[in-house]
Amino acid sequence: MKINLIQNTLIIMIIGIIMMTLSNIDFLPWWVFLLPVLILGIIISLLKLNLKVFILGFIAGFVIWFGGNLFFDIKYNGFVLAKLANVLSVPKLLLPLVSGIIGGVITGLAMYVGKNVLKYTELTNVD
Amino acid sequence: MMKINLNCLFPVAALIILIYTLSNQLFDVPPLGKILNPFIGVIQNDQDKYLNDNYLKENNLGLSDSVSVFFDQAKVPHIYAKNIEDLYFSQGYVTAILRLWQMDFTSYVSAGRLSEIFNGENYLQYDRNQRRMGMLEAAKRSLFLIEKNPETKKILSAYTRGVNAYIKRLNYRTLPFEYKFLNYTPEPWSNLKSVLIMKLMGNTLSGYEKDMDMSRLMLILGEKKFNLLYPDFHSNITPMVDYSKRKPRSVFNAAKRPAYLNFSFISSISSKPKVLFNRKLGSNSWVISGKKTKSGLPILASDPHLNFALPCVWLQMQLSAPGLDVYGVSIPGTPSIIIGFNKNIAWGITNGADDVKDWYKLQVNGDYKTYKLGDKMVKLDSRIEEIKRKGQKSFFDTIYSSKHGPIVNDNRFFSQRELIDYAMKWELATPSNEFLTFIHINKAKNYREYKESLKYFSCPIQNFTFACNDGTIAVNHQGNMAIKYNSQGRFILDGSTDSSLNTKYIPLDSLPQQVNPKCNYLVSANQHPTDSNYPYYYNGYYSENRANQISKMLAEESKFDINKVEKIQLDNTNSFAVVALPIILKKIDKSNLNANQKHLYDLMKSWDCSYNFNSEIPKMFEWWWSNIKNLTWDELTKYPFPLVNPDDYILLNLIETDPTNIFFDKLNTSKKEIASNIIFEAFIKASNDYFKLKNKGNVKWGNLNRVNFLHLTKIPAFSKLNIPCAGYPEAINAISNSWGPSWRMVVQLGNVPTAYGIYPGGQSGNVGSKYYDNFINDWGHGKYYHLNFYPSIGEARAGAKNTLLLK
Repeated sequence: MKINLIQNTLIIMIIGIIMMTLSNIDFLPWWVFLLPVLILGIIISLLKLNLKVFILGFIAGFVIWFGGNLFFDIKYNGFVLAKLANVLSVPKLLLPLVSGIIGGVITGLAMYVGKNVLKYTELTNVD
Repeated sequence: MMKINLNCLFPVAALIILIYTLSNQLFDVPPLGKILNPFIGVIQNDQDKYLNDNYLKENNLGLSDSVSVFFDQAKVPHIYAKNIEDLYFSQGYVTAILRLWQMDFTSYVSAGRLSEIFNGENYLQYDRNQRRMGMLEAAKRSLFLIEKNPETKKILSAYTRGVNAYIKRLNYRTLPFEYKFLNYTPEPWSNLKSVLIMKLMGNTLSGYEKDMDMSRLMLILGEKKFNLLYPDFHSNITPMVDYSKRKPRSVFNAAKRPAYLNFSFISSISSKPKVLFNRKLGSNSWVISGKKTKSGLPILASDPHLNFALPCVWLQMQLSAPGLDVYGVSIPGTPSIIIGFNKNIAWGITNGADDVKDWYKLQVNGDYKTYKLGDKMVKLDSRIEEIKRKGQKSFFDTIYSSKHGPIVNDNRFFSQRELIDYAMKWELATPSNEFLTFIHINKAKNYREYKESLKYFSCPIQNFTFACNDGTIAVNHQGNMAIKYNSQGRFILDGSTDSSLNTKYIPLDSLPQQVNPKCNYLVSANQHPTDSNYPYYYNGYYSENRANQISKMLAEESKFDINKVEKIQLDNTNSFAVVALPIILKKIDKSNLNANQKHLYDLMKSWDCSYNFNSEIPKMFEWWWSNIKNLTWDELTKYPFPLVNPDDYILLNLIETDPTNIFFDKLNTSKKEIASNIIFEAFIKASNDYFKLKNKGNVKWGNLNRVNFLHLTKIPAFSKLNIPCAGYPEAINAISNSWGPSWRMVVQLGNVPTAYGIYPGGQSGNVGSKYYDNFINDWGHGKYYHLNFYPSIGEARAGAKNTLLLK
């Protein structure tokens, strides 16, 4: 149980580092971090770790995107999200939340795809 | 052994579809995966990197030497370059840092390219109208002329390279907010885009005309009444240049109805004309000689009145290079300083307000192949303009033009229905190089050099006020003023002949101008440039009230200092009300009023005619006078088309001198009303409305006079709205709800100029910046900032809050 918790935390941190590092490389498309996340999923599958990868990816993606927006909103002037929320007639907090959900879903999905894209034939046989 | 898990196809597809969806705009929703991404999205626009970092260095930009940019406390950049090309390169670069989206967008507005950014028929309509007026075409032709001048070409190209150096460094994260929000990217800057921005300013300032109204009025009223109600001059004017001592000429005779002008000639189509131009956009500028100031040094004041917008229309900066050191406001997207000062001189600008746009009625063949000119049918020129549209096929519009100019409205497209098949002749279409005026003024050291710079300025006609530390003061009404016969251009012209096409301009030396007058001050505030002794006929849409009030205030005082001049700039007196109020009050028989009305009458009697924040009377006066106008000019409302009312002073003079005039008699009543009857009726009606408003709450002028600073996209969230302000368009402090003093500047010359100024906006064009609209409150409260004109790079460095080094 404890090992599992450490593994989960570690995976979330690795995804977080991947997201933060790759998102700052300007000439690559915004979604490029999903590729190493996907590879991470494959590695998890190869290591035969029994983890709920979508949830892990979702948590990592959510925390980074939701938290990132909040962090910069506090660190910077705090105007842009408020003004954008005003244009869309939604509460300001909804924007980081939506951002978090988007970050979570795509990261989780990338992890899931990574883990499940390959399968062992013997497993198929068992199935 | 491993193989691809086919069951995974669905999640893979889902992921790809998600990424695709999030990368693209869906309906009006911007690409969410990009704009909400915390590392590159809009949250990254929530900062002021260039205006907050103490020291920044940017290399490999393409400069020949290093350039230092010092931002002072107000975040005004002071640019120090070692040569002229580097200076204008850096002006482009720094302007792009602060205002890239604004200047880029403005060039689209000017050219008629909004369909490339927005979806919607109304944008296509707008673009077609701009193209048909010939904005893009005029800019292209002007650019051709401009680039023949090596000095302008060098400077304009350096500016363009500077803007492009900044655009090249951008990535999605650093892209200005609006590009992310509207999902497009900046195209490379070009010299043409700078010209387009200059043309748009010309368009705003010289677009207003009333040829159709005047033609209809001439026909409806007949010559006698027309000349009584719409004369070229009336008695309450303070002309900018005094020609009264000169030999009277008779060029401003009463207008005659042109022989061709009759009801079958002009269209009687009833259509509510679209308001495309604002007549009231004006400005104040005046200059006081050292003989009338405390310090003995000349003082110049300038406050151009333009539409309030965010980002601010102006950008303050100091430009310094060998042979040039100037401070003032620039128009983002164009090189040099437009209004400002250097060590020796200061200059201000107001709109000349002359009529430089005429309509010619053409006789066009139904197939738009030919039109009648003289006794021949002549081929119509045509060109096809491609209007690119976002997400749709381009629209191709054919634009016809005659010898007189383009046919803006035809049977396939019109914004002004009553002007279908009329050719428009607009001075703005004539190629000209206004850049060169500013490039030279920026480095002028005396009146001679300054005046030499003015000669390049053609359109829109502007009044340039001038002061020099050698004591010279001057005003010049500068631009292409066509030589006209009496009333030419006031009415629709006959396009079946080319005899009324202007070919000559008033010679430079004969343009209205004055140097060092005896009264020791000069005033320009969109009033008549001259009195009727001027030897050439001209006409325009002049405003007299502000000039009258400024002249009065300047005449009253003999020891001016900067503080007193600022107070004049902020004066809220409506000089028309000062003259009119006693006259109309006298026409009221107080015994017919009830107690409340009597009280209101007394309050009005003691009103100082100021539109101050706390004054409660202005709204009552507004309503009263507007009721008087409506009741008097009811004769002009019975036509299927709206007509422009005579000037307020004409009505006032009529009340005074001819109170039984037929116009005071109301339509549809058996009684024959005279002036006092309608003034009384207007008072009662206004006071009823006034008491209702007062019962509801606040009649304080400041709370009624709400000012809006609209973002260029008109999106309220990016705008600053409903700011309560003092002021009134007819007062010197000409604040209205959407336009007014866009820059207030007061400069006292000396060894080193002392200057104060402020604009309603901020230095940054970024909606996420602290410096986007941070001057607005102070501006609204009539505060001024000291303008730091650093005489040397050392002082600039010492005064700097943050530094940007460019190489």
